[in-house]
Order: sequence, then structure tokens, then C-alpha cells
Amino acid sequence: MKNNQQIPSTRSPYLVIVFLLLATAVGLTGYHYYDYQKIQLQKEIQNQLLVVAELKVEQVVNWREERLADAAVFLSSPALLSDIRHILINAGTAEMKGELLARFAALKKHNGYTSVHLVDAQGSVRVATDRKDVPDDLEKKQLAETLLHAKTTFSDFHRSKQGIINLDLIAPIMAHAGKERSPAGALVLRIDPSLFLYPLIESWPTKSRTAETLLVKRKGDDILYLNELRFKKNTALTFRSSLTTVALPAAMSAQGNRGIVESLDYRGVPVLAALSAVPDTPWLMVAKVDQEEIYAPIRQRAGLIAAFIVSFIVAAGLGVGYWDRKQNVVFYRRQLEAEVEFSAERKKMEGELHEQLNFLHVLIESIPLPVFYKNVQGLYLGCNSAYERFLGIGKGALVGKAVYDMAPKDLADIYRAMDSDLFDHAGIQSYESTMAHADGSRHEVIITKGTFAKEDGAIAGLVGAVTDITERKRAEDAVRQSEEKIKLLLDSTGEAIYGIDMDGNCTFCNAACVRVLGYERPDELLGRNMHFLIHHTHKDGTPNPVETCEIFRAFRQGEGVHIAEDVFWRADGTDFPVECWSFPQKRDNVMIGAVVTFVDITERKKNSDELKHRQLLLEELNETLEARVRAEVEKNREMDRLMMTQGRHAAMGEMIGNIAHQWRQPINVIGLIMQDLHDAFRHGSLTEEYLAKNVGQGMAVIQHMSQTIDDFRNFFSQDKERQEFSANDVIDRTLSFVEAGFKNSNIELSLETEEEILINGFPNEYSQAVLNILNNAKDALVEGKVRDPRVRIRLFREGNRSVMAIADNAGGIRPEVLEKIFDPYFTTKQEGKGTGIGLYISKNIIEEHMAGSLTVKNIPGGAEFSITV
Amino acid sequence: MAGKLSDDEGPDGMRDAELTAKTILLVDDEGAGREKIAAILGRHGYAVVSLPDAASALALVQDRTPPIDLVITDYRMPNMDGFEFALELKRSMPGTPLILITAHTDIKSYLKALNVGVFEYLNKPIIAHELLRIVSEALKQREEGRSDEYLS
Repeated sequence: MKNNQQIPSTRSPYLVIVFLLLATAVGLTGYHYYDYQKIQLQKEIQNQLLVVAELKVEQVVNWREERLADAAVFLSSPALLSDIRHILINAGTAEMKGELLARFAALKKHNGYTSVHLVDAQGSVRVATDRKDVPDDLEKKQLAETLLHAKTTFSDFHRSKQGIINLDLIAPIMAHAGKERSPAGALVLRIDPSLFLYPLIESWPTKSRTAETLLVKRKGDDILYLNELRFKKNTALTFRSSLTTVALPAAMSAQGNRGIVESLDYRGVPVLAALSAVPDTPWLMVAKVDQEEIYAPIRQRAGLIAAFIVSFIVAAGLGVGYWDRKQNVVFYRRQLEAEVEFSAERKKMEGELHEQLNFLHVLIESIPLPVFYKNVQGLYLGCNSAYERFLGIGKGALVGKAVYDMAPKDLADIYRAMDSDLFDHAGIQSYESTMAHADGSRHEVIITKGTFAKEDGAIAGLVGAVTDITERKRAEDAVRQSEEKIKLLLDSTGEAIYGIDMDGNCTFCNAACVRVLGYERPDELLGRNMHFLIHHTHKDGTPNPVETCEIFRAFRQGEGVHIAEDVFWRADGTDFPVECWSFPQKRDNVMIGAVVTFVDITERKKNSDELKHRQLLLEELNETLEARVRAEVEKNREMDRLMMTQGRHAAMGEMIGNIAHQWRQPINVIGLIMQDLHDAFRHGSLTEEYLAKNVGQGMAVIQHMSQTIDDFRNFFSQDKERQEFSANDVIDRTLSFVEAGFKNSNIELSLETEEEILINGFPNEYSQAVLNILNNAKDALVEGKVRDPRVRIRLFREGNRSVMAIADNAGGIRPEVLEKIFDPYFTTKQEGKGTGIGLYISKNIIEEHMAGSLTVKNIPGGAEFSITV
Repeated sequence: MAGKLSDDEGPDGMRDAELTAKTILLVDDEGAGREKIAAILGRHGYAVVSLPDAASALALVQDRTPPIDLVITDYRMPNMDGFEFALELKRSMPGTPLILITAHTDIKSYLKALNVGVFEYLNKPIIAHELLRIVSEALKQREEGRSDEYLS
């Protein structure tokens, strides 16, 4: 009431503007689209009209040329021309006339002329296919003009006496051939345009309702239509329009307009027309189409566009209107709420409500259990102070929050799942769960929840109460854990254990017991009388009565007992030997039963038999062993011999490669020396001194090569016997074999020696051992693509032994390779690259033949082989 | 004895010939072969500067006038091989043709050589007239390349 006057119009002017802008934009877009389409179509039609007009003009020109050609061809025969002249000048013979007439008839028939006749200079007909068809005055005038110009011409369209529209082709005939020319007469070919020319003009290349071509000509101030019109009959040569009717396309054409015009035609209908002139004639060609036909498709499209625009604007209007209305509704609702809020009635009601709420609040607060309640979205609506205390949070922090805001995710997931389950199945729900206190401690709880409904019965939320069972849970867990521990302990012992009460019934049994006795589950034993189950019969099949059972007797008297060998019976009825112990159990000094442990001693009994058998076997083996060892040693020796041969072959292959490397350089030098000599000679600068010097150089090189090949050969000769040799010499010689190959691979080779070291043994074999190690290092360096590859050799004395240490920087040897590196046929190289016997042979030479040692170890950056002799 | 003549023909031995003759830098760590090639080239009117390693060769070419017209180098040399040398040379003396001499005959290193801008790749043993032909061809091409540069 008091706010009524303040309600402003929510119909904002913005809405109207938005709507108007939308409508304008849509309208403009539509109009532009329409305009664009129209222009496109116009262009297309204009092109079409121009093409048609051009086509028609061309056809008429062609037609005229053909007709002129008819006349020229006819008059091209000199003999015929001579006859014609004869007829024209000297009347000619009847025979001549007859023949000419026959020719005329043929021409008329084949080329479609109305009539053909020969006239003299005065216009009298001399020979004619149709006698009645003699020229009239107009025609005579035309004839005279033609003869005057001595040129074949077309007459204009004219009506004959019979009222038929004709067109004459007049070909003048000269009195004499040659230069001096005076016309003697003319050949007149009469054409009926309705047979060919009119249809030609009138035809339209595409299907059209209103398209038409006109042939017109200017006559004084009028336009004469030369052909039949599509929309007006019998117009040819009779229908005229005034030239002053400017809008007429034909008039425009006659006034010299060419190209495309838009105007009204002879019917007064708006048309689009293409205008062009027919060359060499006074004729004008007009190709036109009614605008109505042209614009039909665009009009149709315009309809569609208009419909689209209108519907769009209507939709926009509706949208804007709807929004406006919605705004109004919101506005009025707010207005109403404001009013209600201010009313006294409302205040009173609120007071009552407040009292009720207060009572409920006090009630809930008084509940000693933690209580909370949520709405159907799962958001907390409130809780009591017991709940606040339980979780250590304030009510303010709870209300309006979801479970995910209040609890760790793992717990919140559970709460959320249970809540939604409860909402799905309204009623009461109770489950054990965990709740987290604000300080992070967790409490085991039972949560009991129920849904509450609105007045209409729909679920409005839930209320839950929490019971803390942490302590109870903890006690239960402790009991369970200790039980489990005992069970685990019992189950993990290999001994079979079971307990019996005072009646001899099973109270517990461990896994071993169940297994050994051939049962599947403990409950097959629990509660059963163990004596009757497993101890009922002796080994020999006689019954074992419970009265005489040792175990029973002992525990009843409170004594323990050990039985070294007895028989127990399995579930399947078989028996097995056991050793068993029984311990009496007391509680508060009262006997309550016994625990019996036993072991299956089948194996133990069997093992003593086995032992005897083994001893026998061993004795037998000892006797044959010596012979077998001997055979094995022989086999190994054979193997080694084979290996040595293979190694030698492999080394030889390597050597040949080394020689190739070694010799390439000196061969090149010798080649250069020889070529230099020849060159010097040709230049006249070859002196004896120069020759001598060069030969000297060449010989030195050759000497060196010779030495090399000797060294190689010596290397392959076997050492006959042990001798003392210089390790320094051997390493120098060995390096000379390989240095070319190393240089070729850019490997730096260094040798460190201090003093001359003498060794007793086989120099060539020693050299081979070193060579194998060097080659191995080279291969490792090349294969590993090591940067700045290096091999460092040190020869030194250690006590009374010599040590040759060969170190590379190829990154070292992997542990699993290291232990096998000296094994025969062991190789890490690609197939076909390594034989795997080089290092084996080296070890064999050093350790077997020379009583030394060959070892390998990884050093920083690489590996080091040490030969100690 | 092998190094004696090559020392005579070292950088200090070059004087008047430089003014007119084309200067060839010959790099090979092997003295006897280097000496013979230098002798043949010298006899055919080239001024030859011969050096035993790539490092000193690079130091020499750095700021030398008149410039080196052509470089012949062995492929296998300590410290820096022919390819590395070719690359270094290209950086410091672009446009100077380089002929690589090698004992290797495989197509891969041949293509690699051409890739690093080596003018030609000669196998050992060296055929003197072939070397002379390639040298004159390289110098001719360099001459043409030069005149082109001036034109543009």
C-alpha cells in the first residue's frame, strides 16, 4: 500500500531500443540481400538478352550472306550468263528461255524462293517462274536503283499485290563482261520471310514465357515492325509506333540507343530489352523480356526473405517481451514481499514462530547425544551443542556447509553416499563409521539418521544422532588382535597342536594339525572327541581303549607326557607314525584340559633308510671317479689345443689387417718417390744427387717394410723352448704391429717403462697374449665410440715379478661380463666380429705356459688388464 | 733425413714465388710423403707451404697475406682429423678449396668429405698427375668463383 506509488514502469526504454535496433538490422540485412540478388539476376538476364540479340543479328547477317551467295553462284556460269545476256538484249531463242526457266525452277525449289524472274533494265519480265508475280512500282524503283549501282541488293520487306509480304534479292546483270559495264537487266529472287526469316527471328534459345525478338526499322517519324509480333497478330509491315514514344524499346533503338534498356514495350508492359543494329541494313534488332518474368524468381525470393524477416522480428519481439514480462513478475514479487514484511500481522506470526523454534532449539540442545540435521541437498541446517563439543567446531562453521567442507574426503565420501541412500529410501538408517574431530583425531561412531518430511510429505532433510563407540571398538580390537596373534602363532608353527577339554573334546587346533590329520577345516575337529577320532586303534589293528590311553591318563592326573612313537589316524582312514607331547592345562588351579602337540615322523623313519643307501652309492662312485677325471682332463687338453689353433687363425686375420694398415703409408711414399723422379726428369732437374737421395729414401722405406713382414712372420713361429727375453723388446715389437691400426682409429697409444725387464718364458706367446689384450681394448674403444680414446701401457717390476698393465678408457666392463671375460667363446661383440677366444688364450698362455697371472679390474674411466710373470 | 727438405720448404722458405705463384698449404704428419708431394707441386710452379699438423696450419692461415689459394691435407693426423680441419678451415678461410688425401676408400667418408665442403677426395697411393690435375681444376674454379664475386 505504502509502496504502490513507488512502482515505476519496468518497461525500460532500452528494451524498445534493443528491439528497434534488432528489427532495423534484420530489415536492412534482408533488403540488402534482396537487392544483391536482384542485381545478380539482372546482370544475368542482361547478358542473356545481349547474347540473344547478338545471336539473332548474326543469324540474319548469315542468312543474308547465304542469299547473296545464291545469286552469285547462279550467275557464276559464263555460259548461262551469255544466254541470259542474249535473252535480255536480243530476246533470245525459245530454247534458251526454256532452259533458263528450268534452271529458275530448280533454284526456286531447292533454295526455297517464292519466285525467280529475269527482268530487263526497264523492269519488264522476260523469264519468270510465276508470271503473276510481276514487279510493281515500288519494286521497279528498287530495281532501277540496283541497276544504277550495279550491285546485288536486298529490297526491303514489302507487300505484293496479293498482299503477301516479300523480300526481293536483286542481282544486276551487265550487258558485257569486262570493264565497260552497263546493266542489261536483273535477276530477281523473291523471298517469303514467313518461311524462314521470321521463324529465325522469333525463335528464342531458352524457354521463356514473354521473351521475343523484333525486327524494326525507322520509317519517317514512325517505327515499322517488320516481323510478326508475339503478342499482336498481323503486325508485320502494318503495325507502327510513333518514334516519339520514347519509352518504347524499338523507338529507343531507332533513335540510336544500343545495349540494354529498361522500358515499356508496344503493349505498354515494362520490359528489359537489348538493342542492336543489323549491319548493311536499316533493320534493328530488339530482344526483350517482360520484367515481370525476369523478376518472378527474385520476387519469390523476396517473399521468402520478407517472411524470414517478419518471423525474425516477431521472434525478437516475443523474446524481448517475455524477458520484459519476467522482469515485471520478479519486480512485483519483490514488491509484494516487501509489503508483507512490513505488515504487523507478519510480525505477530513471526513472534509465534520464534517461540516455537526456540522451544525446539532448547529441546535439541538438551539431547545429550550429538545431533545434526541437514536439508535434502545434504547441507547442514544445524546441530546441538553436544555435536559441537563432539567435533570441536562451532555451529556457525557448520550451517550451510556440505559434508565435503566439514570432513576429510575419505569420510565425506561415505557420508555423502549414506545420505543419498537415505534420501532414496526414506526412513531410518544406522551404521558404524568414523568421524574426525577438529583436532584431527578420529572417533569410531554409530550414526543413526532419519528423514523428516514437509507438510506435503516430501522429504525435507534428515536428522542424525551420533554414538561414540571408540572406546568399545578399541577394546574389541585389542581382543581380536591378541586372538589373531595367537592364532597366527599357532598356525605358523610346523608342529601340529590341539587342545582338549576334560572330556577329551577338541577346543582348538592349529593349521598344521588340520593338515597333518588330513582335514580341510578346523571345524571338522572342533568339539569332536580326539581320542575316538585319531587315536582309536593301535598300529597292529587292535583297539586302543580310552581307559588305557597314555595321553588321557596323564592329563587327568595333571601330568605331562611324552610318547616317542605312537600311531594316529587320518581322516581318510590311513595311519602314520607320530611323536607326541601332552601338557595339562589349569585355570585357577583347576584342571580344565590339555594341549597336545605331535609331529609326523614318517620322513624321519624313512631318512634313516635313505642314509644307508647313499653310503653304498658313494663308495661305488669313489672307485670310478679316478678314471672319469682322467678322461675329462684329456678332453679339456684336446679342447685347449683346438682353441689355440683357432686363436692363432684369428690372430693371423688380425695381423693381415695390421699389415694392410702398416703398409699403406710406405707404399704411398714409394709411389710418390717414383713419380717424383719421373717428374724431375721431365723437368730436366733430375741430377744424380737427387736420384741418389730418392733411391736412398725409397730403400729405407722398403727396408722398413721388409723388417715389418719379418716381424710378423716371426710372430707366428712357435717358440721352441723356454728362453730369457726382454719384455721391453717384446712390447716394442708388439706395438709396432698394431700402431698403424690404432692410429687409423685415432687411438692414442702410450708406453711407460722404467728399466729393462727380463722374463723367462716364450717371447712370441707373451707377445700374442699382449696383442690379444691390445686388440680387445681397441675394439672396445672403437665400438663404444669413445671420445679421445686412449690405451696406456705400463711395464714395471713388482718384487721379483714383472707387471705389464694395459689400461683403456672405454668405460670399464660390466660386472656380469667381468666374471666371464676369460671364458672361452665368450664375446660381447656383434656376431661375426669376435671369436671370444683371444682373452682365453692370453690367460692360458700366461697362466698355464708361463706360470704367471692375467687379471682384469675396472679403474676410473675404463678397464685395466695386468700380466704378472 | 726425412724432415730436412720439408723444413727448407717451411713457411719461412717462401719468398718471391708468393708474389706470382699460387700458394698451396700442404698438411701431412708423415714427413717423407709430404716432402715428395711438395717437390712435385713446387716443380709445377706452385709455392708450397708444408706443415706437419692441422693446428699449426690453422694458426698460419689465420692472418696471412697473400692468402693461401688451396689446401691439401692428409686425413689421418694426430689431434685433429681431416674432416675437423676442413670444418675449421671453412670457418676461417671460406672459399678456399681443400683436397683431402686418405687411405680410406669407402663411399660414406667420401660423401662426408663432400658434405663438409671438401673439393676432392684422393685415395692413397697418390697418382701425381691426378693430384696436379685436381689442383689446377680447384684453383681454376676458385678463380672463377672470385671473379663472380667481384661481378656481384
